[in-house]
Amino acid sequence: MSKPTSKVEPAAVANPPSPQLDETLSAPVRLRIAAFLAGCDEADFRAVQDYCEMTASSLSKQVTTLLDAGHVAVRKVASNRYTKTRLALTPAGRAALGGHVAWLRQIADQAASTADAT
Amino acid sequence: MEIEPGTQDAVQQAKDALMAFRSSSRPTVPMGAALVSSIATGAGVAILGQPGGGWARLGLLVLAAVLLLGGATVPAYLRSRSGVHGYRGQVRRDNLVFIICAVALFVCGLGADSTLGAIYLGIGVVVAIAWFLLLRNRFGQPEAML
Repeated sequence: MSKPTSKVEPAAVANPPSPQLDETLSAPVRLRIAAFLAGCDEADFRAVQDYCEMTASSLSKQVTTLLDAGHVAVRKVASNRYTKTRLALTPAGRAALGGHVAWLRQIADQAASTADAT
Repeated sequence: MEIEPGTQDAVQQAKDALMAFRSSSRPTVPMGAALVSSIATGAGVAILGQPGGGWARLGLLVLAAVLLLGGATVPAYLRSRSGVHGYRGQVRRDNLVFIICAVALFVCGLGADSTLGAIYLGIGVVVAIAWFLLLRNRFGQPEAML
């Protein structure tokens, strides 16, 4: 499988995330997948599937979308007689996730401050 | 096409993302495994400071090192077996601090006498309790996602 190309500049990865909507992560299930992968170097496809409580085919579909956006990298690892699929968040995906979560928190904070003012 | 969530959705999505991050970064270790790990770690620290000489002392140091490594390996092994590999962010930094503490305790324990032995026994008890609470996520979970 070809390595996904980064859509975020290296400088943006190094700097703290600025609030920014990421279209790919606007789907809650994709946000959950990316957030799960943010806590580790890489995770087995099965571990993500168990956490997200999804079928293999629907997770595969979501992973393909994340892969196309350059947020996730996929690696095949030999394990005994089987081949395991491992998923990892790319630096671009990590930056996008940081920006998207900051954006979500900004919306929540703005709503809270508006409610306090009234 | 940009889909902007409502306020409630935004709060919920941010909460879900943090929960997902916590689930992979530092999952709660089951009670039995946490007990075994914390007892091994505490015993390792306590044995490390016990005085002695010659082969007996060397044996104690090796036993302490094995217990410390074993105690630290249990949660990592369980996490890896569940399909989550490697650490990121705050948990990785925490692990580095634990390694530095273990090395400092090991080096200080090399010149242990009976007084230091008693102190290490106390430290061992504290370490066992603290390690158990940490594995059971009683000290809270990582807040910063990245």
